[in-house]
Amino acid sequence: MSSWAAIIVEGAEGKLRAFVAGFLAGRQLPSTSVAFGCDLRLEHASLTERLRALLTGGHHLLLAPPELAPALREAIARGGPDVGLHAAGQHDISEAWFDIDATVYARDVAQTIRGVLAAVPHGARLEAYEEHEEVQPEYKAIELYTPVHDYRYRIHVRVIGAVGGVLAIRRELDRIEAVQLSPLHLRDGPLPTSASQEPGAPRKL
Amino acid sequence: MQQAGSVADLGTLLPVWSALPFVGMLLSIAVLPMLAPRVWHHRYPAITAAWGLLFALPFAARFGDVALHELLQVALVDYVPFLVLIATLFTIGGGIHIRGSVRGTPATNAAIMGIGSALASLVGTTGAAMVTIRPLLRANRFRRHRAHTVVFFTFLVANVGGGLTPLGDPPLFLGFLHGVPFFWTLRLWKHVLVCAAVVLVVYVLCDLWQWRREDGVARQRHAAEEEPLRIEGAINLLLLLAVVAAVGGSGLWHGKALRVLGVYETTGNALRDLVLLAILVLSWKLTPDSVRAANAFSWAPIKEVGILFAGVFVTMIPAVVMLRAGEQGALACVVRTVDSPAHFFWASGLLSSFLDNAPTYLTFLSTAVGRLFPGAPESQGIARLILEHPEFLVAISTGSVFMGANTYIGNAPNFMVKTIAEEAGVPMPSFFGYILRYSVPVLVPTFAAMTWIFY
Repeated sequence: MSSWAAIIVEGAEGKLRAFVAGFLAGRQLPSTSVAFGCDLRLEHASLTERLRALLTGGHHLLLAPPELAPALREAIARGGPDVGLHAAGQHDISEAWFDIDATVYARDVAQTIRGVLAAVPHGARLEAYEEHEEVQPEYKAIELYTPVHDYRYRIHVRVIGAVGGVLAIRRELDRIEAVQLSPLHLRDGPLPTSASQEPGAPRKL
Repeated sequence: MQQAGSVADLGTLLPVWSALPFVGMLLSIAVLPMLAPRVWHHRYPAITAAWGLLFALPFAARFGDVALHELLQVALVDYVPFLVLIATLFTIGGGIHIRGSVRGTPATNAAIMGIGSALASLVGTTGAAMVTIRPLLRANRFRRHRAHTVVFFTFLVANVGGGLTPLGDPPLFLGFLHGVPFFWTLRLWKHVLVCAAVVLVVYVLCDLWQWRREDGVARQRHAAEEEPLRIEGAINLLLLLAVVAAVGGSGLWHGKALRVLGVYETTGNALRDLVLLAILVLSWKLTPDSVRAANAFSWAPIKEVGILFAGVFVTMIPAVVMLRAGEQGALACVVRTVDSPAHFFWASGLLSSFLDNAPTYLTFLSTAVGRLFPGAPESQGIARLILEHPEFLVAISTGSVFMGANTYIGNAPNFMVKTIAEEAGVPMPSFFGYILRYSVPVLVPTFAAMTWIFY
């Protein structure tokens, strides 16, 4: 099993997005096959850097799976300069992780979160799993001046592991407005040999 | 302290600290739901009673019959009609349910907010919010970004929209009970229109930006959205017209004077309250249970209003009479501080942002009367205020109604909307998040512009 690659590209973000969209469409692959670092809150640029990037383009990070990374880098090297894009480097990513925090008062939303976390993709695992569910029927009524929820679900967990699996679960969770996702963290290097650990046991908050 | 010879003397005799239970009462409503929600939930009747008795017992012991008369006056002229109207509008609002769903595009959301805002002046901000928040949430259930929509809904439907009639927001109904004509508030239409239009335009721009950030799943048309809209419990719309007629009619026809326990009332007002109670019963009988269940209707909010406002109205007595005494009263410093319509707009508004807006309105109405017509009986003072300086009443009305939107605690339905939205999975901003991310950038500049335009 090969590692995902982080490809650093110089140029305007809009052009890069269009380029990658064309690349994936040509291979009839879904748009989620390659991830943009800025969508994962990966790039922590200062305001000055962001302004400079806006005016002159900037550095962007693409995360590509092992089966696509060489072809994508080659395509950027070959066709990129025509539209102002230049591959500035590449390195392997062994692991990625992010933290999830949520406090929700809707049972169906809590169920959705649990459902997503129960189906962790291969290669990803859950750590520091803390959850707490509270049901208090005496607070059922919706009130004006003394509002207290009759249901509350809190969860904190870290999703860690192979980049593909971590990104897949992050996409699912990102659709849930009540879930707070931390920036994605990457660990450089080749894949560790024992990447598939069991998820941590749930713990009360 | 001297012995009070009459009710009018109270304003000059009461010391400033006699208003402390009022401050405590309002701060309890404002702060305890956040600091100690469960204690407040269980103990608010006892806390309310404590503040009320802390004022009422020494007041009655010191001023005897005059104090009892003032307490009865507040109970019969303010509290009972206030509670009857709120309960009736709440029962009617809780009997109207919009079933079906539309697609939560920026245009659809703006339309729902526009309709809700218009409805607010008829059924009250609480009723309008209760009727329209669930269709709005259903329309947006596929969207990833919804919190901003609920916040702007709170601004418009739960606050600004209620500015056109005494039915719209409790402060204006209290004004009506104290002699402001029913249709006088219609002259606020320019203020309501400007404020609502600005906020709605900002919302549409904000939602267009958020709409572009939604993924394809949210922006696609879903088969589940195709259920056509229909109104259930439509009989309540007719009953609503009856409420308008009953309240408006009591302002036009006063009937004979009645003396109840030494307090003067009119047969017109008594008839209005009886008719409202009859409408409440009719609404309850004629609305199918399924409609009320769909609105998650319960009497809990009316119980809250009944208990809390008993405390508010009792503890409010010293503040109101001291302010009405103008520079002769112990709160002369307050009366001197606010001297222009802009001052009244911001002072009543800022206090309404953090304390309940109904008592705030009455407090500043008394301040204006005390400043402009010191010592005048309330009915004469308000009549002269409307005739000679209506701009002050406009400022107090708009400040109290609009600026209740500034925080979650500014107006009762704000919390209700927040709770319903959270239980539908929307992560609402925190208390300070609401202020810093929405009120300060959207509402404060709007109110500043209104000050420049109108005051």
